[in-house]
Amino acid sequence: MPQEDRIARLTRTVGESASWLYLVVVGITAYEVTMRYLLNAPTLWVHELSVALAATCFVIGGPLVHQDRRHITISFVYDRMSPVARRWARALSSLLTLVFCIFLAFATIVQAGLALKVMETTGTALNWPIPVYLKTLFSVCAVMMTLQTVLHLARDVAVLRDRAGGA
Amino acid sequence: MSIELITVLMFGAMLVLLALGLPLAFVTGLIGVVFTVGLFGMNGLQLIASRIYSFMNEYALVSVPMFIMMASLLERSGVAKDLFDAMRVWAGRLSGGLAIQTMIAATIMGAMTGIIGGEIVLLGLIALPQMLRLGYDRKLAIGTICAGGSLGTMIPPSIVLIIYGLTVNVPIGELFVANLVPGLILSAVYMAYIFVRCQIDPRLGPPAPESERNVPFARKLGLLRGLALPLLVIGAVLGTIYFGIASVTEAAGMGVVGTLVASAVRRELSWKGIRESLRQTMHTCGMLLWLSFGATAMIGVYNLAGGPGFVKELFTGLDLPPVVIVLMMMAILVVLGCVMDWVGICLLTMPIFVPIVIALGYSPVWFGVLFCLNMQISYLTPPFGPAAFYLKGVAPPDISLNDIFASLWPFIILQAIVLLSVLFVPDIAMWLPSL
Repeated sequence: MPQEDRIARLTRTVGESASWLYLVVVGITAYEVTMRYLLNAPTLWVHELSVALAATCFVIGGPLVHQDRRHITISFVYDRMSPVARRWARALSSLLTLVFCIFLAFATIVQAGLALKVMETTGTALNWPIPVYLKTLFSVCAVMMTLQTVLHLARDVAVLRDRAGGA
Repeated sequence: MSIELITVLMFGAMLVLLALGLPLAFVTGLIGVVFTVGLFGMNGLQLIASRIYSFMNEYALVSVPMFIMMASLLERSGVAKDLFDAMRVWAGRLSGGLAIQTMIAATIMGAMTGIIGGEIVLLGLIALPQMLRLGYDRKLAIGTICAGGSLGTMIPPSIVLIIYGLTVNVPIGELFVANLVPGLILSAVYMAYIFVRCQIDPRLGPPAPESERNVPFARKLGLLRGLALPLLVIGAVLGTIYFGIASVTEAAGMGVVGTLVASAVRRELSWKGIRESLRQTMHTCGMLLWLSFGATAMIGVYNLAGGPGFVKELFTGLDLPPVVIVLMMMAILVVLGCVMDWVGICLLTMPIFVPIVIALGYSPVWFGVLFCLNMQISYLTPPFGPAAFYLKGVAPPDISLNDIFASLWPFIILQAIVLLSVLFVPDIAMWLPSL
């Protein structure tokens, strides 16, 4: 299987599995509301866990959407370009995206490293190491997006070359 | 580097990169990281990373996927079609009656969802063919769908207000309450417009033929009964928020539970439906949140560089009455709304504008209502008018994007009128929360 397909499959599998966490958030929220209003026994963990689960999905959503290049684009200028200009614009976009992803990956890896070094916790009653987990996940997703962008760029450049050679 | 130069460079870079077709999330993110490294060195990137991290840890943000899931489940159920059918039979002989009933259905749907998109698609599939079949004026029908379908973010719950509340630290529940009356007024103004146009020229909105109108009263009531449960869910969700019983996130979570129960009772619930809703929620939130991450990075470095102070001096240095400054801000938002997504606009401009607005002595809640109204305009204005694109996806092929945009002008003018009314008479918005 080509590298590109492998990354695409991994992204989709992880992304779609993670989406079930939203249903878990619904479930624990219902549990919290029931416990608080009916049994007068509010929980300590629902709030923090909801945030962590939702944030997990938010972060994973980045590479999931990026895989198919579906991040919101304002395309009215792009749509009016000639086919040649479009191919160049696309390749240039990928290159610029790559610059962003590399900086983001660097920033988030350092951030995760600092959190890991002190095993950073939430500092609440539960004191779970959620920051360590989320910051690590964030850096993994940033690296993932960097890889995706490298593949996008390679394809865009190949298209450019193809056309240049063919014409 | 002077702050003037930084401002010009950032804004210029943004326009160029947007034109290139670079996704908005990466445009703002790239500008954010490049300026950070340029101005503050590699260490500055940690500030960006930690800003993004704290943004995703906001509890209120959890309500966003909940509301999106709720909308997505409702879209998959037959509630929208039943709602439209139940409203349709009341149109009677009134010219433009079907369009007015469509607007009522759209308003009720707006109270069930907090995003636009799905609602426009549904109305485009359900209501548009019916209006065209009766021989409605195409422009009037299209405008009704796009303007009505956009009410999703105006009638609470509203994702726009959630993000606004998080950005500027205003209680989201209060924003919802303040937005209710202006939202209903906007909807009423749309209906009044349709009514007047069709009274002047009844050919714009012919009533249904006699044979179709002849629905027994008992059956009309029967159609309404199927809607009781979904409406109860909305009432419960909004009620808990308005009366401050539950947090917005908890109310949204319970809204999902209610929607699941309502779908199950209507025998429309399946694992496949749930899975698809979850997938849609995952994608929508992925886009929304990464847009926010990028904008957070850009506004973060602009803050550090002293941008807000500079803009504040720029505005206050003009020595204009406060209301003119607010009007100028509205004009800037309208222009930005033509070329940008509302999330980007909110995160980039509100941290700068709202402190100025507060310093001028205005309420940030009121300004949030103005912002929300302004974003209604942004959905309809070309070249980037999301409402038009959503409708284009499901409209008959002979309706072009240009046809759609050409149909929207009267509704944009109505939105501007309501916006100015709330601007000059703040009590329209502030009356309900003050109770």
